[in-house]
Amino acid sequence: MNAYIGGFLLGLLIIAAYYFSGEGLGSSGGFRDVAITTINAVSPEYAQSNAYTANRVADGANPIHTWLVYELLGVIFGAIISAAIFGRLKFKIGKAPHITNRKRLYLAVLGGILWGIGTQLGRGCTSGLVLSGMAVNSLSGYIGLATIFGFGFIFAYIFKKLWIKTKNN
Amino acid sequence: MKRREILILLLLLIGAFITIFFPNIKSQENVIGEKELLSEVNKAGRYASTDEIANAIINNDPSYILIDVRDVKQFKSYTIDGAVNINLDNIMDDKYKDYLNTEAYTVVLFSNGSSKADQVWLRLRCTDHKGIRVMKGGLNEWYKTIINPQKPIDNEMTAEKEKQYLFRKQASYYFTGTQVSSGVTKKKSSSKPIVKRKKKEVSGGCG
Amino acid sequence: MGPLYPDFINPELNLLIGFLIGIGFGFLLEASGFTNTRKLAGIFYGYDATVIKVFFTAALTAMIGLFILHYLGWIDITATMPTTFWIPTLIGGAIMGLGFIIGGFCPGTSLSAAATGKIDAMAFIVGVMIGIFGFIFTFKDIWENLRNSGKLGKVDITEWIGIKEGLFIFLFTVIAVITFIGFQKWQDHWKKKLSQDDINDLGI
Repeated sequence: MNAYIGGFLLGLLIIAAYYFSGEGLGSSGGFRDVAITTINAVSPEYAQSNAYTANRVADGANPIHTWLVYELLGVIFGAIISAAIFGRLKFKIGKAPHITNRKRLYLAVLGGILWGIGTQLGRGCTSGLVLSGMAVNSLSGYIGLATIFGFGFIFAYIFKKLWIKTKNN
Repeated sequence: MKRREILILLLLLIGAFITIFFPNIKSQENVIGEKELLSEVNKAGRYASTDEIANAIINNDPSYILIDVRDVKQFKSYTIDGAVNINLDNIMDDKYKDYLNTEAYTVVLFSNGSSKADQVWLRLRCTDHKGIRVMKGGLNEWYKTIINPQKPIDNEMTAEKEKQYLFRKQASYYFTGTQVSSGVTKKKSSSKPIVKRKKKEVSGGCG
Repeated sequence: MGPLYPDFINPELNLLIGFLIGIGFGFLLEASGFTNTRKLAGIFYGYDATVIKVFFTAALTAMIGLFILHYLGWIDITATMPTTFWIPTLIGGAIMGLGFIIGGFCPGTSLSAAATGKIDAMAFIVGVMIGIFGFIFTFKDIWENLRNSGKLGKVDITEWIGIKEGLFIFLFTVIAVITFIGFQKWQDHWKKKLSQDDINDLGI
């Protein structure tokens, strides 16, 4: 799909999410809700006592039935539909050609851990914090934009050999 | 660039250009805020009954924070066990932020009647504090129902009312200390830990 | 007047709408190529301008659309304005920036990529869950004060800079269009150096 058309439709989707539900498109919030649901299922006492999870499980509230979790379920289906249409539905490891599979998977887990912490501390990810924040002109969205991409460019320079084959490696 | 790409970019530029002539959003905000506020003022859950408060204190329930919003003199002469004194003039002080910005606790305001506590409630609600409650009827009601409960008239006595009366009678012993009945013993109410917690996102408000 | 939830639609319907919007979101992410980790990394090295174009076109469309709809009285966007905590967002953003380069995804793109069979994305999601669990378990000891620091309230960036809202949107749009053209040039420059396999893989 053409990048501008994809972006335009994505923008309309953000408007729809705000118009119908008053929610921004997000991802990390849904992951968080899944994590809290798991904790609550294993030990409700702990979920009640932890200051981060307490208010989301208060009064028997079930943190799995949130808008973001249902939206993420939709993301799974939507991605599968698209990949099926464009013939991209197959198991593979995405990486730069010169990186080994094992290294790529280790780094993916490590990068995921950083995102897990960063999203909870920074109150959202590229979709919820930045994209949806920018859509309503929130300062937080622009701080997220500047830091994620700003530091992204700095670290991209430092870790260049993870993605670009240079003469040295 | 392809024609459709140029078309989309032009559409965005034209749309963005049009927005220059629109007024800022902040200036036309208030309408829904008032509507929301009104619906919250009328919500029943905004009030806590005196029975609920008495029960919480007797059971040493640590999740309640009681705030006496009357002036210092009145507070010193009489207040409910464990209450802290913060009044309308200093409620916005930074040092009380920890008491009010809490989610894990139920903050309950009270005054002699309801009106002064309601005033403080409104002030707090307008500054993004959510979930704060007011003790219904204030200390007057507290005295009538807990300190000096009246026995219901015999022909109006239902099982429920009797149960309520018995509870209040026990609570009265507990608070006045005149007579200690079995089952309820006078305990010194423990000081409550205050935890810094940020409130959930609040929509609407008072402009 | 929007948002329609909770005044006009019930919670169940709201969740269904969330699901349907999610389908659109996942479809567009996949169709635009966001499930390819190399395309995502391409933002930072300039060999693929797709993600930048999609991302900013989406932001601009939503920004302009919501602003006009707000003005027409169809939707109240002040109701959904998030509160800004600048310190944790700054630090969190730096951590996420590092995670982006190391992991090659962000949470939303990793989910759609994992759904379409990308094993590296599945590993990434495992990492995200480990990170979130770790954050929750250490919340009181490490993060609580930091996460609640730097609270500025619901701050509109235009108010913060002191510029008229519409003017800001227009300037931002102009800057974005220039950025698109610049990234396109960067990508064209790279294209000469990439092998045919790379170009096929990236779909540029």
